[in-house]
Amino acid sequence: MKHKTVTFKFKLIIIILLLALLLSVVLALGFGAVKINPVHTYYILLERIFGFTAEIQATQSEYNIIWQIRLPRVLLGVFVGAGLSLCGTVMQATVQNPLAEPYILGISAGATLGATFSIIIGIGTANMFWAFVGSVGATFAVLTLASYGSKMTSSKLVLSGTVINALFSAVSNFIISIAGDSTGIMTIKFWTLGSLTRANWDNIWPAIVIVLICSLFFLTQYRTLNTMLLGEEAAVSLGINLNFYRKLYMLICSLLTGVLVAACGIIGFVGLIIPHILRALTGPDHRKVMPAALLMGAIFMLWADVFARSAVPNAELPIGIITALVGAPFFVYILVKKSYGFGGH
Amino acid sequence: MDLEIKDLYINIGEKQIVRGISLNAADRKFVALLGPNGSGKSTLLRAVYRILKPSGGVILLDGKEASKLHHKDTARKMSVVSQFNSLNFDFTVKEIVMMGRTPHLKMLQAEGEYDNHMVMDALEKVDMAAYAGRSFSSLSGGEKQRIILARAIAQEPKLLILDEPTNHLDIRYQLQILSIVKSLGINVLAALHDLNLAAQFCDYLYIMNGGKIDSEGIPREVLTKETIKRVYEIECDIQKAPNNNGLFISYYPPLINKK
Repeated sequence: MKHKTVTFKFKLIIIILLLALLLSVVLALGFGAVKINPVHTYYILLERIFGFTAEIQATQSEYNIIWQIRLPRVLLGVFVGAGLSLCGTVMQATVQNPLAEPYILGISAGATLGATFSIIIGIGTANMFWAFVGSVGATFAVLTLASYGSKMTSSKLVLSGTVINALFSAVSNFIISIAGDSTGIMTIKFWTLGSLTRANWDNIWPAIVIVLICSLFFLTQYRTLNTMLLGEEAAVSLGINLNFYRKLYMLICSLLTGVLVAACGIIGFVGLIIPHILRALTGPDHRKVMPAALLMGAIFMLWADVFARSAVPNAELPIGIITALVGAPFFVYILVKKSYGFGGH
Repeated sequence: MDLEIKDLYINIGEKQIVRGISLNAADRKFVALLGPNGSGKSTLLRAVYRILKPSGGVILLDGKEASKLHHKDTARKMSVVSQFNSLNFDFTVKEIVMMGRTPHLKMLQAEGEYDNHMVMDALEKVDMAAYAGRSFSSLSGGEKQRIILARAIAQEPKLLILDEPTNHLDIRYQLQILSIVKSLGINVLAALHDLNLAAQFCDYLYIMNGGKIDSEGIPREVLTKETIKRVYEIECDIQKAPNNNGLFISYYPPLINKK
């Protein structure tokens, strides 16, 4: 009986999140320098996707703004949000630590270093690959540092992440600065605080495809992820080849981080906030957390972007500012809450 | 599943912790490893359940070399109650015990009637069925230990490895846990601290000291004043218990030099 009500609650959460995501997409398309009536947005989408002719006619300029400018950006936002949330969920299970997330562990900074390096030395087309090289390097560095000498603890992991983050950011900002073109500062802003402005129909597909593939893969891995949460001893005695899966999952997360950073710079804290909220709602079982985290991450990113676009008139805030404003207090909250086992007790 | 260890050596870093140990756990016997702190009991067990790699010797499970078997195949027959059960994430009791079914399920296979039955059965064995829906982190130390044992039972093991399963438990739960384990009627290898309990519950004892087997045998033969003096460096008196196979061991505190 108990089991049935739990499943019902989970289904309800998923349905609500799905509806909220669809609604958010329509509403988000209306925000920006030119406000567009959500009803118009809705009909433009219907017409374009299903060939349905609307009774209410939107203007040609509205049509162009929605379809050419805002929709690619909103789509990228949906997949970046889902991808970051996925990274956080998987990394937290893999290193058995509720604070793990690409930004906090410095893996995003590694990806940025790879990407800026490739742009500066003039192999700009391959920068997604170089971002991946950077994120794998940072992952390796942070895990080695955190487990050097003795067993990895929460404090050591977060400290190692801080160090790697500072080091890699400094080097990539150095590279951008000595490259010396007039857009240098703008470029630093893009890489370190993130933005979805660059999205257009030609450049959003790699990120979307990779997020889709990784999401499908990790949706099948719930059982392994669950046993990982129990710790090393339990996972191995339950028949999980822990060394193999840890490496595999961290590698895939690095790949995903590299792709996302190459698409929109560093956007922090999403992978920390979203899985936490959902674990409170659904419990830690990945069968439930994973799909819910994907949807919730997408919704969160959409609204963070809407806020970035419309908070200051005639200007645009970097989206990383918004996620950090929400995420940093959240981080403090997790640290203070002792039950999450930060520190040694 | 029968366990046979032949001439095992284990190094941690530069230090040799286990130095040439051979032992058997078979014929549905409750076998205990005794010995002082640092004698290598946990290290030996961690090698058996494959957290540590031995540097020499072999571990055979049903006659096959353990390092060549898939983790999943060994997990279908061998389960473990270790000392490491801190949990940063808040599962329910039932979810924790259901994880014992992991090695029996395929990647996307849903848990069925049978799995559910095994889980509830295991919870009843440890007397915790009423707690199925409770959050694991809200339980007391003794309750948590019983849930971890239930998970190991739900795994349907033929060999159960226990690393000091009664640590931090009061006497009632110490007796309860060991009685449950004994009643399973499977091969058991347990590291224990309490010599009285070991004598009462175990069929065969290995006494370790400094990474080697000091002595082995059935409890009444192996637990002698001389052995305890040699291994633990304390004096004691030993009597046979009148109503079971156990022993009464009463220890004398060591002399402390007062200046």
